[in-house]
Amino acid sequence: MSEVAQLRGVSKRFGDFTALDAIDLTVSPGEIRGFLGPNGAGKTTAMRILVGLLQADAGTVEVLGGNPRRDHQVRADLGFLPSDPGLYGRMRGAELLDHFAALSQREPVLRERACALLRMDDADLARPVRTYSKGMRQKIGVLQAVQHDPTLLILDEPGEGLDPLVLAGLVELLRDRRDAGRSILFSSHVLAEVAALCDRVTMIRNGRIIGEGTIAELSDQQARTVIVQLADASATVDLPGCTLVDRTGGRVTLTHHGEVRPLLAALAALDVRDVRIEEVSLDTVFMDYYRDEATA
Amino acid sequence: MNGPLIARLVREQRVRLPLEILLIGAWGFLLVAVFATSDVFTKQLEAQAKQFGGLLDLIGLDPLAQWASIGFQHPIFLLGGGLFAVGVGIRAIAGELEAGSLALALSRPIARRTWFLSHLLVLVVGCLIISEAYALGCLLATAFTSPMGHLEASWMLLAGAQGGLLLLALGGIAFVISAFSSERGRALSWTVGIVVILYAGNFLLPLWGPTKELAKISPFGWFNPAPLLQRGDVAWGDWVVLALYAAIPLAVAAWQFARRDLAGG
Repeated sequence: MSEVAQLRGVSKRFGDFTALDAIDLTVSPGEIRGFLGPNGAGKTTAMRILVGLLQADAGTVEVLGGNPRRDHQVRADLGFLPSDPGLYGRMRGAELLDHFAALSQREPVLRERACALLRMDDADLARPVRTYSKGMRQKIGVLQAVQHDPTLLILDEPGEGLDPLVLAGLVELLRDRRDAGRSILFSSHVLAEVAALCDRVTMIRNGRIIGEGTIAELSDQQARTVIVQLADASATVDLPGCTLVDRTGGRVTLTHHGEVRPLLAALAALDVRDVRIEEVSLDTVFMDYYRDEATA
Repeated sequence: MNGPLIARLVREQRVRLPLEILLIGAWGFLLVAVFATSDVFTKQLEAQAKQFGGLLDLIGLDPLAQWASIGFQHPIFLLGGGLFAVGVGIRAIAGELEAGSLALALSRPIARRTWFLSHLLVLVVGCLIISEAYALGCLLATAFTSPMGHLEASWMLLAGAQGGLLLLALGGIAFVISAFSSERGRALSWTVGIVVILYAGNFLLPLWGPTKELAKISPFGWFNPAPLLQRGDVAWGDWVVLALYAAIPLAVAAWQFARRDLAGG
């Protein structure tokens, strides 16, 4: 099946600054794709190219079988939430949603359910948008993107400013859409949200894609922490794929890369009192990928 | 054109535009009412009538028509109409881009051309209504206060249309600057600066021989409704220049808006 959205070798420069450097990014039908990267990495630029707001300098862009910049009808099946959505403050919430549904040329078939999940009631929708708090503005931003049940949702930091209850509703809403066969590309700094929601993750840094895969695949590429408590404090430890980090008596801390089976076999041959292999969290994966930049 | 988009633009103007129409209409009404009721004007006109007899009529000079034409070129009319025209032009692109609403709207199946033309329609209709409001205000006051002199309704309405063209030219300047900018404040500053220079240039440049011809670059110099209101003489050349003054910046704005990146907001 063809991809719902695809960037191939896409580059974008703003003057001397290279925002994107020949990146590839795909969103498959019925998948939730997480898009991770530090501030200024190029996430928003890539998303705006997918929506047709920016023109790529090089490479090809295909969204829902067309070019979103040239074929504006392609965007009828698209839902977009920018990182800082500009909402018409004088409109009431319901008016604003009606307006964007009319611009989308689609019925807001999902509004009721999405409102319930995001805890947005009629009284909220009857108020002018300018009276909304940051969280309320974010909720109505998500609603305008989702309400017409688009085939592709592009959400830039959708969880920003939402309280945990609403965030749980958002996660349920997005899973629900994925289960209905819709595709979602979303960026986030909340790694727990990405880990809970995403089928696949693409990581970007300095305009380049530096990692892609499922959370498990990305975790496998990262170092695990292995803590071994030896019965004999003077025993020699030489474990496959491991690098010694610290040794205090019989307690040895190592980092491990690669296949876990040879490691387990080697551990079984040792006189070990206790072993702990720490699961690699997405935070660790994220930090490892971005460590170079942080220390640069 | 896009129905929901135009409906929103009209809704946005539901307070401001009627207020501006009322202001400009009241300006026309007051101008003629003051002319009709002021002793100064009446005595002057009576004296002139005694002095020159039917000469004023003979040469086709009607003081009321002259008075009404001054109102068309007065800063109150230009400011009232200009506020609307410049406001629409600046908000259409730079304003909505900075606010972030342009990104939301254009992520919908709306062509940039449609966005541009919808705003242009509101600009054209608004400028025309505001300008005609002045003409109607003058005509209404003429009917109520019976001043000395005569205002021909069709000539007033035609002058109103030409005034609308001048306002459209100001809107065109705002549109083109807006299309090249991502910041509302900067676009507004540039537009106001250019409009003020063009307005001042229309009066100051002709005062010095070497710059006299340069005054023609100001659109304000191409709007003189006096001959039309006095004698019904339509200066079609002035209309063409004003139309070009509006059309060229608008065409450049449309071209730039279609190709530019929308990275602000």
